[in-house]
Amino acid sequence: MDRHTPLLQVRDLTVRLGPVAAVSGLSFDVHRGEFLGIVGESGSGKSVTAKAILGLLPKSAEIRGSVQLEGEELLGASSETMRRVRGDRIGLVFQDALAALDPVYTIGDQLVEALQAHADVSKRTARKRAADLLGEVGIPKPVERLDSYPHQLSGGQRQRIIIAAALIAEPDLIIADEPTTALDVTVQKQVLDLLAEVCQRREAAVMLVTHDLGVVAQTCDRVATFYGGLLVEEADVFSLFDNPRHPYTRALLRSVPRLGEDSPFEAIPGSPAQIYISLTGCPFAPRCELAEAVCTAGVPPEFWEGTHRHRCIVEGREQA
Amino acid sequence: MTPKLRVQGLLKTFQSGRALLGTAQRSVAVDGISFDVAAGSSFGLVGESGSGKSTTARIMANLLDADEGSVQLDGREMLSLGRRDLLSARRRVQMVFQDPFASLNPRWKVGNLVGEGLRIHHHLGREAHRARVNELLEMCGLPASAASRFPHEFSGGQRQRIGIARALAVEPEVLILDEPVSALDVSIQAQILTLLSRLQTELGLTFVFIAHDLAIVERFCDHVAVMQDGRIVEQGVPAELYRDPQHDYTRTLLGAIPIPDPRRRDNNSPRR
Repeated sequence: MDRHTPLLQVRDLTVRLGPVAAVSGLSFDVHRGEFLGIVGESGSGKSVTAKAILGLLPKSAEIRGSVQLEGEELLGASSETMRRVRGDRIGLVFQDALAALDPVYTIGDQLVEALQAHADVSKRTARKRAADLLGEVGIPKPVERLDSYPHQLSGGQRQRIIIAAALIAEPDLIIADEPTTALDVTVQKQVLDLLAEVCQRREAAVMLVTHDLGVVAQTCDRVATFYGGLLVEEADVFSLFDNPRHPYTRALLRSVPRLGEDSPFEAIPGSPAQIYISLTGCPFAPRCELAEAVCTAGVPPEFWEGTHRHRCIVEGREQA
Repeated sequence: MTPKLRVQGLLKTFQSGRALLGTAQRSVAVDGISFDVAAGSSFGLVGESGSGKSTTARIMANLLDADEGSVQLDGREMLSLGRRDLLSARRRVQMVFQDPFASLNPRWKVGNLVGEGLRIHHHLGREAHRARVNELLEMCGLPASAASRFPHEFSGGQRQRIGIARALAVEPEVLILDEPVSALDVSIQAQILTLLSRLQTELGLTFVFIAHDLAIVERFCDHVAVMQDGRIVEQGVPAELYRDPQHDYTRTLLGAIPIPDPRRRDNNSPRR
């Protein structure tokens, strides 16, 4: 596979969950070795996108579009194929490590099971690999820890184990959905550094779903902002923070207080969007200070400036 | 001047397990802390999980007994009270919880949730009661029609407004805010903090603000105390304390906060 083919290619992904248009016409790429940040608030479609890629949405979900992993189509793939893809090719790190680990099995049992599901190895080899991996994610006394139960570990240690489990089959892509939201800041830093370090060493790409712009600024190469199921802006991390083009991204950046700075700290009026039936205009228009009649007349098109794209019709018009 | 609240030598231990045939093991949650909160001010209590900040909050709200120490409100002892005095103390110090999804009974209409304290502490006639509930909702930026709806019909930010209206119903003097915005979307956090600031000015409230987000504490609080392992390791005016932290733990905590600026990436980060 040549270098320029994206590892993951999402095209026109549309997901409807019952009456809710959760994701609308979503297209983006993830390249090898890069950190892509997906930011947005509740209901923005960021977690639904992660689940759609992994084939983890309920059967009742209506899904259209295409998700290709190095050319292999994942939408509509058999559940057997998806079981292989999950873990083997795409690793998963969830927010809640306590919920992701089975309380009645030891850490060792769970890692061995995960490994044996993806590779034909003996239990002894699998245990050895599991212990090595625990060492790699910075768990002290890894061999002893194999016999511990999840409740005997701290939140940070459990999250390290979830990262170990996600890495066990050496996937090319890690999807991390709010991996540090439940953790204290000092532990968050350790866990993010660990994720970054391990992925760099293994040349794995990371899709980091988060609401924390600090985490994005510190870890990501590129950022996509989601609002109301629409990808409203995407750019490299510097361009997005220096020159945000979409009013939602701008408002989001202004809503985060910065330590020791007299920066603005302003709320966005209204509540996060819930999109029913389908998108008929810009989902942010009801809360937007720039909104005009044209914003609700149809779904805003994409405007490009180099590799920076956004979907604000008012901004885009001025740019043209 | 007497502080609004004076906490002295507060100690709280929990039973953490029992050695086989041995005596009960106790772990110390709050280890003899003392601080004053000035009337009309916002006092921030920051720390990570297990630091004892929420235990301190619950003791101050009289929802939990302390092993030792005292909490004085306007110079009068608030702890170890009899039934009648306890009821009055609880009215004067109210608590707002972190998770507006978990702290509101889903089977109750908003009007009943907000009016519950009113029924217990003030005995108003039917019309006066309803008018007061509507007034509280409007004060917190909700329409009066919210009273006849259920909590699930509201977004996180609106639910936190309901939680605040509920706390204010009994006309408290002190609000203990336990992570009041950390479960909310970032775009909504400033809305709720703005509301709280306005209410503080209008009603002359004193706030104890429990938080882990130091940047929000800097914006919102007049004074901050940093807790670690049940002790206050450092306290002062937020901007000054952050500029020149004296304690190692404060430095670690400040250093771990991800700065929302890609040009200021941590030098030691593997993503540098």
